[in-house]
Amino acid sequence: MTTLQMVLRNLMANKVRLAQAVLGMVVGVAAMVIVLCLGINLFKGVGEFYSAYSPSLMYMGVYTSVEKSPRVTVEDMEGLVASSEYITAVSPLVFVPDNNLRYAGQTSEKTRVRGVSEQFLIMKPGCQVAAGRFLQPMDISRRQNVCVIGSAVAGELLGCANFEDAIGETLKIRGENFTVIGVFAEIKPDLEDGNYDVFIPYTTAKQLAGEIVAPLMEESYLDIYYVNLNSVDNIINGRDTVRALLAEVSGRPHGETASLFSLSTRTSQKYDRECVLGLTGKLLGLSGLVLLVGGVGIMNVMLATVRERRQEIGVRRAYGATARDIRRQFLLEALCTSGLGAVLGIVLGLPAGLLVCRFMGSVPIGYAGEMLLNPDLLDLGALVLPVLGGAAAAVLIGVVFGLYPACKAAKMEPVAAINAD
Amino acid sequence: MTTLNNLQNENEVLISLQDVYKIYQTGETEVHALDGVSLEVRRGEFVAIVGASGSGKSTCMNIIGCLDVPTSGSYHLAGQDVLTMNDTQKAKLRNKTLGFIFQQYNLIPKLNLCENVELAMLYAGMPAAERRKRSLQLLEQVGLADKAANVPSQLSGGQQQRVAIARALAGEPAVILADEPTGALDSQTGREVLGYLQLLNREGRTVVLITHDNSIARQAERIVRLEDGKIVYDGLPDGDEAAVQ
Repeated sequence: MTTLQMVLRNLMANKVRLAQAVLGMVVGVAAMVIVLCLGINLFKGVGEFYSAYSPSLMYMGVYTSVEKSPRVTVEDMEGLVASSEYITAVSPLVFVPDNNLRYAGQTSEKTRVRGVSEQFLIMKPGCQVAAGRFLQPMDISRRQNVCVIGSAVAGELLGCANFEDAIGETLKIRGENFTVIGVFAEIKPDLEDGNYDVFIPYTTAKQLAGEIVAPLMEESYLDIYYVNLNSVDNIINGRDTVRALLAEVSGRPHGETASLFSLSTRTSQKYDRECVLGLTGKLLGLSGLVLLVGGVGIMNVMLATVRERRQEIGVRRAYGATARDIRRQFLLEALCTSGLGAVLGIVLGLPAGLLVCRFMGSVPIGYAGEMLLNPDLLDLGALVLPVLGGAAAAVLIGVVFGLYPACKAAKMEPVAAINAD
Repeated sequence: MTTLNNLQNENEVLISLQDVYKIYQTGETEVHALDGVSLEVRRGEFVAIVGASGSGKSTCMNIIGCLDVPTSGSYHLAGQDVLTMNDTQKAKLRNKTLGFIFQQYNLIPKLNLCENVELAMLYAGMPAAERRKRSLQLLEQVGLADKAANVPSQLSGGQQQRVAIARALAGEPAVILADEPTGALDSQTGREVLGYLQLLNREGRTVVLITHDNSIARQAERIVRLEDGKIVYDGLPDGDEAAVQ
């Protein structure tokens, strides 16, 4: 198409001006592409993170008034596996704070010691025992001082390249000796970096940790459970089953002396995704501002071009160009300018976006957000959106900011245009 | 060679201005750029419109060229009432019927000669290959085929005006409107350009030439002299009243 060639020639004829016109667009589109890369990576990262857990897993905090109420026991909760059609596994979760894990005189601060039951393994399908075995009911009922450790604990603290070598070693947790009975295979680092986990029987953990009184909830015990459901569709049913149990044990309606806080993997993932989307949206708004500035730049340059080429416009009109032809020509010029800006912005923005994701994924940025950033998640399919976004921005900015100069050119009186100097 | 269909009917009236006024309002005073001009030009004529600057000849030219509208009066071009037309219809009329030649050549600086010549054909919607072929033919006619890929700034003034003539011919127009075509050229080159216009006229095209130069005007078959927006002479170039004083 010759009109397009003509337009391109006009643009290329004044490269300094073109650069001037395009700069804002390049920066704006690049910013937008980077934000989109970041947003998409976080969004996919959230999905990736939660995929380590069973989707039908619920985290439950049972708050029981210290004085006024009988307390739900682990046995009560475990009984639900048999009595409820929705619940397939229950494990208490007991945090052992200030665990001060020691081995051969060395201390590790990264590790996290938690007491669970043998059913815990069902809830984190990502975890595979690489050497030895996981906790068994016997360990729990006998309050054994045994532990199953993550791959990083075995590798870094115990210095065992071969995980089998770690079996039978002795760790010190809060001064007590624990025998290693199992090592987990290395897992993809997630929000809690499970490679630094140490699991002990919850019965032992309770002894170590002592009674937990819930912070902010005065005079309440806090018992934490992981509860696995047969289906993600039964999250409400599962919650209500546990609430009913609380009411039954306490003899009062749920919420009076005993109350339940629960959060499912799915809901949690939903919240996190909403958070990511909100953040991405706000950042996109910011990059949109840069785009607006870029658009104004294009408009200014186009206005100058139209003023400079009045005579050309007049001649074209004399030779049969309609006002519409003139408008189309200058609109096309604006579109090509913004299009060029968008192409450059995409070309610069994509690698920059990947770099930003890689960089932010490699340094701690709080709330373990770095765990969610992994540019490997940005496959070709995921990059379609930033490219489309850049293209859409080009068209939008080109039309919005090119229309006024183009209409101005089209509205020129042919006589005045020809006689202009 | 394309036959000039629209050049038939030797004596048909092509341009018809009836009682045309063009009045500019500048503050309190009215300026009558055209003050009741009536003019008929027949097919095949070579008319020179002469007059001093401010006589209204440029305004007259712009109205004939459908680039400007009169304040009152009527104007028919090739039998069509121009004053009732909208912008698109006028653009089409200019495209098909008129070929403009300007004093400053007004070639588009960033386009090469071919593309400049193609302008009218572009807006007529002719396919690119055909346009290119025809523009090369036209450049050949004005002796500039070897410079087809050059841009106007690489040419002398006379060469540029020859390109402009080729451009004016591209749309097969019935009327060539030349506004001081020799004004920016030395007399030798000016005569050359005028020679081209006379050649076109002999081929059957109507030429309307605007000039303030008596020696140029005398080459026309008919002179229309304007003074203060009125026609004060309309006749053969050798008449006493023909020359600009």
